[in-house]
Amino acid sequence: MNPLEAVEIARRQMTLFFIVDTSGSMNGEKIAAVNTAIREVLPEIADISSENADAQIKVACLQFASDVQWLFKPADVEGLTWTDLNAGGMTVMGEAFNELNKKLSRKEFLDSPTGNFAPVLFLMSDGQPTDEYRKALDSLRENRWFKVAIRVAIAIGDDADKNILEEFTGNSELVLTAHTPETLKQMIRFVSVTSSKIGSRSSGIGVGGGSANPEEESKQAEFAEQVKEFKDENADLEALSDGF
Amino acid sequence: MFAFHVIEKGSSHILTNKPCQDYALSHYTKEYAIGIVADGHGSDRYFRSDKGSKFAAEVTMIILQEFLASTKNMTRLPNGDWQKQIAASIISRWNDKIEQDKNGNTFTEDELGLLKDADKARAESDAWQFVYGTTLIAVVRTRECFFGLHIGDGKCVAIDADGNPSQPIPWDDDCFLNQTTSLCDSDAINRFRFVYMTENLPVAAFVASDGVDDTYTSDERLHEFYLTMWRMLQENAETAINEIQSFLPKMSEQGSHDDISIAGVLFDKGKESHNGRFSKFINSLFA
Repeated sequence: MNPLEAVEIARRQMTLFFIVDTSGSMNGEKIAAVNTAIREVLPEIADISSENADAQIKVACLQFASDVQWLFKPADVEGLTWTDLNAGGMTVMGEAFNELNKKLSRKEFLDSPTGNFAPVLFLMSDGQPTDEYRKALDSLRENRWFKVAIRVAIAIGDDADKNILEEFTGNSELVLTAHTPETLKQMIRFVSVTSSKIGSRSSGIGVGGGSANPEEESKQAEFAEQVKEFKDENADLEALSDGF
Repeated sequence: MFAFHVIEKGSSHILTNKPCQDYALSHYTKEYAIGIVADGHGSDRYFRSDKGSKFAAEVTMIILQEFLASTKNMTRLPNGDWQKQIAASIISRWNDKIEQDKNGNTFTEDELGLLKDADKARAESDAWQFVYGTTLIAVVRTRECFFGLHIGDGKCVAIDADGNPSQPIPWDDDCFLNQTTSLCDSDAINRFRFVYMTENLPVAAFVASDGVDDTYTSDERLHEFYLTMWRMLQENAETAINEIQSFLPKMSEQGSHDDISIAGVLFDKGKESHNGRFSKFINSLFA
């Protein structure tokens, strides 16, 4: 055997970050729907990961209420068991943005620019920040991993601050609104699966030069197109009156 | 001294019927060894990057040989200016070469048709050089020193006399995901990174395009790959190079899917080398 074949060829990694508001207002149906939806979709994402020669998918979950906590740091989705989130407390979204900014770094969760694809950042919230978020969000938006990430948000119910969610995603089309537990679960599944598929795919071709990352821009654009189609096909879901 | 290089078209380029956009060269004498790799950018924007990488490697080889021929004492060179002068010469001669190519083979409608409107306008202006965009890494081992220069992504891994791997050329944080600095950048001279060593010299150094780095995505794996290669070269260089070359299609297919090019320079440290095996190999080369 050629000795070089003994050196393991490793897949690149793509991390799907769930960033979940677990403040008191999420208690009850909302957090139950989030837990059910993510628990049910993880095996599907694990299948996408195991069948993908280009990338291994990891999942991380940052929850924020009166403080911020990593329920999971990036972990291999294959074999991952979801631990239910519990809701209660304030909404320190600014602290969550700061924590995310800190971890989206070569020195933290994304240790190698050659070993990672741009991540997926999936924010879910039903309310307004109770802390100073502006500076944290502005700073996060300067993070280069954040800039190339697929970013998406779900506003849970009518009380969610959609303006902040739009600033997070950079595109109002990438903010979905869920008014019922069933809709929320459907949206979480759609966003998780679609973003994982697109985010973990490689063109296999180094691009180089220029001022942007065309591969990441193209993934962001493709994901936005898929979200638009989902919204068009499910216009009735967002038009529902608030059932939460 | 010994040097080698290998090149393989990437599996994705085979599928899409694109040319290999990597290029590599090597050369050695009793006094020095040179290894060079250039990786032309992959998207349709850079439709002549296969030529850009070839020209980059060729002019660099000439300039390095001229430099080595004209430099008496390699141990007393101050770090900095002389390396920047080499980089400036490379940029200048590379620009001459791509201009000659463009003048002799004007951009075709098919080529320009690959570009978006803004890029097409740029290609038809005085700022057309980007279509030849490429990275470049070159390393030189002499009896007295080791030096290297690098613009863009790809990596250089050196191995010291104790078999410890390192990456002696600093990484550039502007090389991020698929984005890389390039010889076609208007400020290319400021984008070059350098290494120059006169002590604890590496016994081997390898340079490669990102087709290798994107296959072995952690430094640990990457270093294991080069250490394995180094051990193979010590056993039997000719067999090793054949095995390396024959492994590259599989490596691209299972790893990065990208073009792959690798160049290596090796030096024997005589009795200090690993049980003299490498000495035997070097001696056999010059027998």
